[in-house]
Parts: sequence; C-alpha cells; structure tokens
Amino acid sequence: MHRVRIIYQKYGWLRFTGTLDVQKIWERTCRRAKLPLAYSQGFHPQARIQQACPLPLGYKSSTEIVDIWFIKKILIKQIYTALIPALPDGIHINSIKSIKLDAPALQSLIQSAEYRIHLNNPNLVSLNQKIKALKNENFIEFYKKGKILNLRNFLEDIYLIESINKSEHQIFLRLKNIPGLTGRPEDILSFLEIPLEEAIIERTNLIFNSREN
Amino acid sequence: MSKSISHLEKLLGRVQKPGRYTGGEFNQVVKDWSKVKTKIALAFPDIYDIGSSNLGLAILYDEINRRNDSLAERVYCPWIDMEKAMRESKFSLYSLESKRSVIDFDILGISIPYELLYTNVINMLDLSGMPILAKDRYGQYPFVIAGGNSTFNPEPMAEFIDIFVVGDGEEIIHSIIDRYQWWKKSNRPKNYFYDILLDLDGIYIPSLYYETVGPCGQFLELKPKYSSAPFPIKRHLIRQLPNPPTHFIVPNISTVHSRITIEIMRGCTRGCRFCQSGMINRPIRERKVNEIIGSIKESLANTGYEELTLLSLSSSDYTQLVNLIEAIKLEFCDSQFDISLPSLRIDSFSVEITKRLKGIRHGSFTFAPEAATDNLRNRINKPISSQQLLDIAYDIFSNQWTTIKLYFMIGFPEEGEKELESIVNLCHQILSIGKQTVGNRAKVHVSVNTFIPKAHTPFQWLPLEDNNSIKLKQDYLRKRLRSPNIKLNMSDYRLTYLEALLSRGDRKLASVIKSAWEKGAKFDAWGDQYNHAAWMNAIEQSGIDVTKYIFQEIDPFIPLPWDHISTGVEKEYLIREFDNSLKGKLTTDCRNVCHACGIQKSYGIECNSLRY
Repeated sequence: MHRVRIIYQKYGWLRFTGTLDVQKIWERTCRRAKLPLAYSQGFHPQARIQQACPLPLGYKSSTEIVDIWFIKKILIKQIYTALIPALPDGIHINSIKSIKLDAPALQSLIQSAEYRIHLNNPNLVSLNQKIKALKNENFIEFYKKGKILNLRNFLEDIYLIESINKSEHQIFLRLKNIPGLTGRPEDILSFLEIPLEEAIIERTNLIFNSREN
Repeated sequence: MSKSISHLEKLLGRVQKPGRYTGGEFNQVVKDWSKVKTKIALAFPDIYDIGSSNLGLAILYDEINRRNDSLAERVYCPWIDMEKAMRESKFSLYSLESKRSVIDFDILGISIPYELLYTNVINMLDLSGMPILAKDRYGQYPFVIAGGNSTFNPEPMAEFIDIFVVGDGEEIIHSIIDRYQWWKKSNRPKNYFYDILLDLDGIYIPSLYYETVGPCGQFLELKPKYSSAPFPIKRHLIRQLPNPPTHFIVPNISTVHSRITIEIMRGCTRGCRFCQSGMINRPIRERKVNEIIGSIKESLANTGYEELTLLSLSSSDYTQLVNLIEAIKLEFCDSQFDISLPSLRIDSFSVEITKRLKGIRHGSFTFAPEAATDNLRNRINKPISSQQLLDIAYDIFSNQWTTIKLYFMIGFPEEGEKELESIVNLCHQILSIGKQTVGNRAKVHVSVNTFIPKAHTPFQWLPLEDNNSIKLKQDYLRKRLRSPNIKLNMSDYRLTYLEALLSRGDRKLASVIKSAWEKGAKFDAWGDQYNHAAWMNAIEQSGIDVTKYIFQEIDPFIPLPWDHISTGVEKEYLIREFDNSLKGKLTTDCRNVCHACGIQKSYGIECNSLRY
C-alpha cells in the first residue's frame, strides 16, 4: 500500500463542481492514468481517496489537498507523469508527496483556512468601515444547523487588499476550521453586506496543526 | 459572439447544480471557430443529467468532430431555475463547449427519442431566440434538424422542424454536412439546400408536403407539393455499424447514467407486435466480438468509468454472446468495473450468462414478460411459459440474487380479469419462491405500463384503452399486489394519454403542442412537472376531437398520418401480423425462417449476411 498527498489548484468552470463529485473525478482520473487505486472491502468497494475540508460549491482554490491510496509503491515522478494527461480542465497539481500509511486523517489536521475574496468595484470607504466594525465586535451571532454561533469565534483575521491600478480588490480572511461547524466566508460576506454573486471566493491556504507529519 | 462569461458565472451562482451548465468535462472537444467551416449544435431536449448519456448524440458528436472542417458542441435544456435566471437576464441558450449562442451555429440538430419531449424542443428553440415555427425562421437562423425514434411519426412536430432525418444517423450526417457546405458556397436560397438533400434516404422536409383533410377536418392523406419530393420517405439504413464512440464525455457532476455504452447490435428479430423499436430498426446488424472488446478497452482507458453497459434490444439474441462474455472475462478480469447486459430473454441461458459476467452479486435481475397468460402472450407474439419463468426465478434466487424486476403491460384488447389475475398470481408465486430460497430478503419489483398502440407496428390500428377501465385494472393490481416485499409501479394514465396522442397525431396537432407550451407545459415526462391543465386547455381550445386519434379503432385500409415514412417493413406484413394476433397465432423469430416483412426487398439486403 502506498499513500500519497496531492496538493492541487481547482479553478475555472470546475469551481461549480462540488466536493463529492470531485472525489469521483479523482477516482476516474487515477483510472485513466492506469494507477492502481486501492479499494475498500465489501459489496460496494470504494476507492480510497480522502479530501481535506470540503470546498464549498462555487469557490476556487489554490491549495486543495487530497490523499490517495495505491495498492503498491509507485515513484512520485511516475504518478505525476501518469496523472497529467488524465486530469480534467480545472485541476492543476502543485505537488505530490508520499505520506505514512498511519498518518492521521486529513480532515483532522486542518487548523484553519485562508481565503481571498475577489470583489469588483466595491465601495472601499464603506467596506473599510465594515471590516473595522467586524474586528471590533466581540459577538456576532449567526445560525448554523439550528445552533446560534458566534462568528467572531471563527474569524482569526481579516483585512482588505487594495489594488492600485485595477478595480478588482480583495479581502483576506483566515477562518478557524471546526469540523461540521466551520464558519464560512459567506457568513462574513453577509455581515459585510456584499451579495454573494458579486464576489469570487478563493481558498488560498489550508493551515495544518502541529500534529502533521 | 461568445457569451459574457462573467454574466454566466453570476447566473450559475444562483442555481442548483450549476455544473450542469459549465461544460469543461474530460473528452469534450473544443475547436477554433475560425478554422472550421460548419458548426453544429447537438441538442437533447431534457436536462444535462439525463441527456449527457444519450448514445445517439454521443455517436453524432464523435462523427462530426472527427472531421477537420466541422465541429459539434452540446446543448441541453436548462432546468426550471436556470431557465428563469436566463430569461430574466435575457441570456440566450448556449453551447457548453464555447458558450456561444445556439443561433450562431449553422445547424441545430435535436435528438427526440420520445414524444413527451416535444414541448421542451419548442422551449429550447424559444430560449435560443428563434421563432418556434419553421415558416417564421427565414434569414440567418440555423437549420433545425430533428432525428430519433419519435420522428417515425414526424407530423405533430412538422411545423416546428425544418428537416427530419429518419433512421440511422451516423452516415447521413456526413452527407448533410457536405451538401450544406456546397450550398453555402453557392450563395443560393434556403430552398436550394432542401433540393440537394432530397436524393438521400431518410430526409423528410415537411414544408415540401401538404396534408389534405376531409369535411370534418379529419386526416385524409399527406401529399408532396412537388414531384421532386420523395414519396414515401425511406428511412436511412446503414448496413454495417461504424466503430462505436470511445471518447465518452465524463461529466464533472453526478448524472443519471455515467458509464460506457457499447452497442453490440442494432435491431431485433423477435417481432413482438406492440414493439415499435423492433419494427423500425430492422434488420439486425451485429458488431464483431473483437471490435467490441477493442472498443471497451479504449473506452476504459479514455474515461476511467467504472461501469459498462452492452446495449441492444435483445442481448440474448446476439449471436456470439458466449464468446463475447468469455472474451470480456479474459481481458478484463482484474479491472474494477461493473457490466450490465440489459434486455435479456427469460431463459436459463440468461442466468448463466449473467452469472459468468458478474460472479455472484446481490443485485437485481430484470425480465419483461409483458403478459401472464399464454393466450395473450401468443397475441402479442412474446411467448414464454409461466412454468419456465418460475424455474428461472428459482434459479435466480438460488444464486443469491434477492430482487427480480418484472415488466408487464395492460390495456391489450380482450384483456379481462383472468389476465390480470394471472399477473397477480405470477408475481406472488415468484415472491414465494424467493422467500423459500432467500427468506424475507426476497423482493419483487413490478412495473405495469399501459399499452400504447404505436406507429409502424402491427398494433397501430388499435385504440388506446380508456381511462376508466385502465383505472379499474390498476386499482385491482394495487389491491392484489399489496405486500411489503412487492414494489409496484404503474404508469400515470394522463401521460399515457398524452404520449398516445402525440405519437399518433397528424399536422393539426402542432397548434395543440404550441398552445400547451404557451400555457406553460414543459418537462412533460417528469411526473411532477407535467402540467395537465395546460394540455387539457390547449386540446379544448383547439377544437380538435383528439379522441379520434386515440380511442378509435382504425380500418387498416385507410391512410395513416405516418404512412409517408417507410421503415422498410411493408404494410401487408403488419396487416398479416395483426390478423395473426387476432387468431392468437405465433410468428417465430425470423432469423430461422423469413416471414417476408419486406425489409430485404426494400433495401436489397440479405438479413443473414449482417450477423456474425
């Protein structure tokens, strides 16, 4: 058995494909690449592919992570060469490395996630004010799965990146990853009163906690 | 002009399953528009989830895109939410590959396999920004060409479509493109393109024909306006199937079917008298085993799919089936994938074949006995003894399958309580065999469809059974087949009625279809979207007595609205088969004895030479 960790970008039209479907895309990509995927036992064998925190539909990402198990050891270079022609548009591999078979599950390793929210022609003055207000608040309630939560608990950092020449500006965000209850950039956007369809959200980094090996 | 991408991205942020509308899948073909002479949009009039696996369009996509001088791109019907978003922001229907408007293409080819898609076809024309009636589309609009099984009675859609292509599409598509390019260079009017198509089998251009009606508005006959218009129109028939497509597009989202489909043969020799596919796809044309194996190999490498289906109307009749299965086992023994072999005959051979294919699996097994008494089976020409079916059921359950699916039809003439009771008894007997063998895990799924007398079959002269008596029969079955281990599915009579009307209609129905669409009818095949009120109002306002199309028994010697389409099977044969049905006389599989259906004579072929 051989476990590899692939860090990749997800962009273009593929941002409209959800996490479950991305799982299938990796499975079929490996099959096209003729890489010997490992399957679970039982009547409905599943390919052993594990993604880090699911990327919400519509987001692009410059650092997605997936762990894939193969039934035998293969050179990383070989895996890379086999995958390239088999990948669909919208996935670009940044790196591949071998991972210990008993390394913890990916999902449990992610401590927080960073995002950039691309905005077209926002009102910078009011946006700056709202971001300031957000930082100063101690309690911002929002509802998730029937619970009232404090958005401020998830928000680790936020600031505006103004571009000098272009009309496109960005908000930088870092949110804490609490499996099942993660605050999402949408929740911040709604506090900032920015309609979701005016923004393109990109996940730029997944930050591991110290347990990673 | 390609669409504003950022505008589209905004729309996609507002709809469910936006991956339906993005394209960009593995194996899609994107060509440079400036380097290609002829651009064809291939449309399926239902949503992406359903249309993306359509084999007919996959074949044409492959055929067209192999040409350096042409391109094909895909178009599907947007779901309700996307349609709303598109209409609100005046965003016209576009192709998935280049995101160009449908009206920028030279040709819009629409596959219409069944009649309940008609309102979607009109909706797609409208969403493209085209006038829906062919006569209003002068000027720069693409030619609207339709194909698929429903075009064997093209008349109800005749006013909306420019050109129908009846029959096999993979060869004639090239002739159409060649002539289109020649016509375009010639700078002549639209009609000239029509003229140069007329020598091709399968081309039906409705504007070159007219319908004559009797004093009460009833259909009399269809006549050509000019002597150059062929009459009758012979369906296009290919003698040998070209290599199957192997670069299937792999959707980026989950769809109803995402799998490799390899057609192992086309046509069927069984001669079931209710079956339209069996009559309009004659003769049998088989693919060779090594060609199929090669195509499976290529498709697996090209797609990474985990499922394969071997398609035909009657898999058990594929001459080299055993050799094919053995070859598949040999070639692909280590690959992780499922193989399905639909349309199996009810015999132990089928069980044996499936066992070999899958090893022992706990899936389900499907059969279509259609009727449960010998008398009725003889009349529809689908003989199989109940005892044989029970033996097979025992065989299936003993081999660890837990579910048997059965298809029946009701609404055949002279079908009484005895026939229904036999269906009930048969299902219960099968269930009890299952219970004895695998215990309470045994399940019987029963689907009961209502028989629709379809064009070009020996039953085309029969009426549809009326609502009340079908309702009684369905109630009876519902009551008698109540069991936690039996799942019963029955067709919605309102849809049966509509399908009967649309498949048996003439040109006058265009006004009904148009008006139903204007009143909001679309996605008719989707039970929950079907707009009964729209259809009923449209029918009522048209003043047309639709019961005549549906409930009247027709004299076999008067002309029918679809008589101008010739399938190669002669009317005399259909009448003979109709008589045999009345007498309860069986007609054997024609691969052993030719029953002179006319196909050999019509096309100058020898059926036996097309099988291997």
